[in-house]
Amino acid sequence: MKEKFYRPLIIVFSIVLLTACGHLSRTEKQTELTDRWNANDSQLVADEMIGDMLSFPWIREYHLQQHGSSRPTVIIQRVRNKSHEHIPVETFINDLKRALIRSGQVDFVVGEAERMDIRRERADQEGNAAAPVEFGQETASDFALSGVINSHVDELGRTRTVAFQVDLKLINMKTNREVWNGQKKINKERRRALIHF
Amino acid sequence: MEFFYRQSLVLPFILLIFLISGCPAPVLKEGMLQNALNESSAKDLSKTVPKVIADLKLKKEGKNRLLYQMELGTFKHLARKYKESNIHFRQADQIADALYTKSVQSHFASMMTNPRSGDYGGTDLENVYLNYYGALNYLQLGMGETDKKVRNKFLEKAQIEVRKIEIKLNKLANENGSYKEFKDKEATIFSTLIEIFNIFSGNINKKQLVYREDAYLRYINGLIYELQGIYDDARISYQKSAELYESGYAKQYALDKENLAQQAWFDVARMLKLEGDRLPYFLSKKLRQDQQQRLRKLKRGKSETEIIVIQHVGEIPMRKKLNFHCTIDVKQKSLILTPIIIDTSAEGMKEKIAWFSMLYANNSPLTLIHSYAKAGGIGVLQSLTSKTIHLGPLWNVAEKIGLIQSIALLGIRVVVPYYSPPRPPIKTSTVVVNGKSYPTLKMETLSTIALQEQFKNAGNDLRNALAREAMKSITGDNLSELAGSYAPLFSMASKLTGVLTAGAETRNWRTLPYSIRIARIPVQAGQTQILLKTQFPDGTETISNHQILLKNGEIKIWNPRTISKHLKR
Repeated sequence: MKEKFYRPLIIVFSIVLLTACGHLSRTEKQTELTDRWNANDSQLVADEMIGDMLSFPWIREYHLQQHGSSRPTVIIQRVRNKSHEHIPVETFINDLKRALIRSGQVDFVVGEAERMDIRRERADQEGNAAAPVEFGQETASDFALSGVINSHVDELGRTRTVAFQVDLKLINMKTNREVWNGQKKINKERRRALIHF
Repeated sequence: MEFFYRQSLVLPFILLIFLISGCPAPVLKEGMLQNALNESSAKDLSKTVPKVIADLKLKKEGKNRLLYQMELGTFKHLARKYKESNIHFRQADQIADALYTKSVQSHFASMMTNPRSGDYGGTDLENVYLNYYGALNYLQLGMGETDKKVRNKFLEKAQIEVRKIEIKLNKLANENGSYKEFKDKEATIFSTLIEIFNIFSGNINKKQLVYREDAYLRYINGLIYELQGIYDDARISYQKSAELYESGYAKQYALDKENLAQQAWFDVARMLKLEGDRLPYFLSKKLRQDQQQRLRKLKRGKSETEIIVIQHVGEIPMRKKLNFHCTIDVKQKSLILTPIIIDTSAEGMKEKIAWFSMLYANNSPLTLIHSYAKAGGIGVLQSLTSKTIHLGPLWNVAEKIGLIQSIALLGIRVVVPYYSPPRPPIKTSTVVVNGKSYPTLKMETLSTIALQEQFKNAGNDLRNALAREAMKSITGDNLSELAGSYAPLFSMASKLTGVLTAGAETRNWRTLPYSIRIARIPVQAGQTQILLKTQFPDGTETISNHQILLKNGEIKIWNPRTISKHLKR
């Protein structure tokens, strides 16, 4: 009889043990869970493309013209997302900036929105601060970096391949000459389970 | 003799089931939302709301805390207290998120007693709509601002809600597969075979009923991106919406596929034009003449001045309870489930019969033939009015754990949730601007999504309810054996407790709308008078009006709620 009484309780406690609480953990590296663009892709593409950009002759030519007195200044204009998926473009632009700053070979000037904010702040300082920063001292950009993210999706049977293609170009602001054009592709493949109920 | 003894006990048992309705779920009853809104204007609605919430016994803490936040959030939204509303939706989002990792533990307690004794974690639909309302509130706050910087701050917050919606929808799509994947799978030989056998077993194809994506929410995401001037992302969201309406969403929820897809494709084309891109050939083919004409006038970077009417209609239906009496048939080694089709109204009885016949009755051709061969017409009738679960080799296991003995005398009460058939609150609606009429497009039917989800879960609901009540009955019997000579009395008491505590998950977010309709109207800048004409199923019509002041190239949204012909807000 005792056995009969305890049996349901054993079942109950077994279920309790099996149903531990949900798992939450912190991870440094993003795992590829889907075929979408992720943080790893963003960093990988930024590092590789900036590496490629700095290996082109434009930077050497610039130093020759300037007699090595200063580093070229670059502005990142716009990277358009023409792909089929939402991509956090701002994060990608920040990855590009980090890769450029890390190289130590170029300087940056900020984009339009930030420039306007700074000018407003400067105007405010002019009327209130003891030693305000003067107007007309801004650094102009020598080169403009812009680009497009595209994607191609191909599907056959249970397999789907997604190719993200990032095209970036660097333009000399004085001459409008395209001094660098880089391309990086990331291919992802997803296979659906054969049997899924 | 034993048979008669058993039969004499079964009838009072059934009557007892009927008399005991159990504790009502803390959800808004039909008409409560309408009454609350009728009693007050939008301004003082926030005074009426606490009374409604108190009447429902919804509390900030405890198992129904998510429902509390969701209902209060919607009420505050209707009262146009958008900031306060978002405090509730933020809380609701955090609760739903926390319950996502704790749900199994919480479900265990409810599995043993009553599903309503556990934390309410919300359905997939409700979890996505939390963020939809969050985004709508931020949109309204942004629309009301003249300072561009403050306006953009609210729009950025709306965009965060959009991102949350995207994450949740992507998760659903990953788990349940896209419409294309579903179609591909249906085309395989194996799936065709399963389909054939499903016909014989009388089952419904659950895969057809899965809430796998949301074309309307994708569309709204596109709109929020557009309002911020992020045209690339707006184009992606509009395109996703168009593809969803085309590939299966409109068919699944009985929506107007052609017009909805056409509207979304037109918005895709507008985004391309605003970015200065060339339209792909396939896209021009999808558009109507008038849409193509509008596109020709559109210039790069210069959006049209536009009014968008988002009409939220009615309220989502209530979930109700369907009682079963579960007995055993020793000869057939089966469990027999008989629905208790007793209700206070004839309509309620019809609904229960319909729900049972659709989802649970032994109505597959093979079972009916088997019943006919065994007991003729009466056998067929019995098959149609009850559900037989043949235990087969599991009978011995059931005997071993005491299930058969426990149910043998009185049976057990089993309760599952069901929905009444959704009745459209309105027939159609039209927006009139400057003397010209624009029909609204029904872009979402939340009631149908909820109903299909309930259909899909019907089998699991019954299985879980049976396991829960059987477990309670066995545990009660085993405990009563410890009571020595008082064992029969103890056993009877435990059975009654089982009857009293049996329940089904009938909680749901009741202030969600029945359906959502949209009209996008290009206008001239300046003060514009909008008339919203709503036609009801009984042929009557109501008109509500609204004034909007627009600057050149500005887009403004008006989102009225129409509950019934007597009330529009």
